[in-house]
Amino acid sequence: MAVEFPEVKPTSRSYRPGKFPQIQFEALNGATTTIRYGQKAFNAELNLTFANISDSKAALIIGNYRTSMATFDSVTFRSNNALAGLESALETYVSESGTGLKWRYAEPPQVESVYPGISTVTCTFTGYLDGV
Amino acid sequence: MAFYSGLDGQLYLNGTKVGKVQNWSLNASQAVLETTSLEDTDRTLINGVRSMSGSCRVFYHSNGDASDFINNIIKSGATSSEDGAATQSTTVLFKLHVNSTKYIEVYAWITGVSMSMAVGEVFSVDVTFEVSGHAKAETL
Repeated sequence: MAVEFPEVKPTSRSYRPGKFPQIQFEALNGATTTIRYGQKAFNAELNLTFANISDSKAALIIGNYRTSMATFDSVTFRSNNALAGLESALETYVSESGTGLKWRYAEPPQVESVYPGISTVTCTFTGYLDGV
Repeated sequence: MAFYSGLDGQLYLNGTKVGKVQNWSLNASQAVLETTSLEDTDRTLINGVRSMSGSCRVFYHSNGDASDFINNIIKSGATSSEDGAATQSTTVLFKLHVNSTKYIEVYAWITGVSMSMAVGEVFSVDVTFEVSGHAKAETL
């Protein structure tokens, strides 16, 4: 089951696709042997910053974290929240739709008070490959 | 309609008129916080903290006007070169007049006092200050 991220648009975003499950052995002569254990990438990373947002919007993000993590639900993103500003081709990759990865909070969001009623929130998500 | 010039200006320090003021200035600024999100094409802002700072030049006179500024920031009393403890500075109350009825009154920290002695010049003191909090009163 998934919980939708609240309608708050980030001020900055960084995304790293998942790695493929493999290990590499490098022999003394430099020859490299790769053993691939699966064909799906895992542990994609998504970092979002919401700079100078109202405390009420910051509370929505904290509420989303508590709701999703209490029942270990994943989080979904849309163009009216975390995927704002992405063109459709890149949006497909960042949303990880169809890849089997599910976004979950990698750690609790960080809230920094900036001004009365104004906060900056940073969120880190990991795209997990669940039970495949 | 009337214009105002240096002839009309006055400066009060802690309620006492400073007699030998050559000039005063006050600057007010509003900080902004950027709220531009990734979908925006134009920058958006919200208000941040306001601040004020100012300066004045006072001729050093035997009546002690400039001494009040100097003594606020330069404290004596050290018993030795290793004694770093002296009386702390305090905030002062500036009242900057455009004329007798138009003024702005602020609490401020004196952050700098600059003095130099040179041949052919009247000894004067340049004072800089940072306002703490909002204006106490203002009729500008």
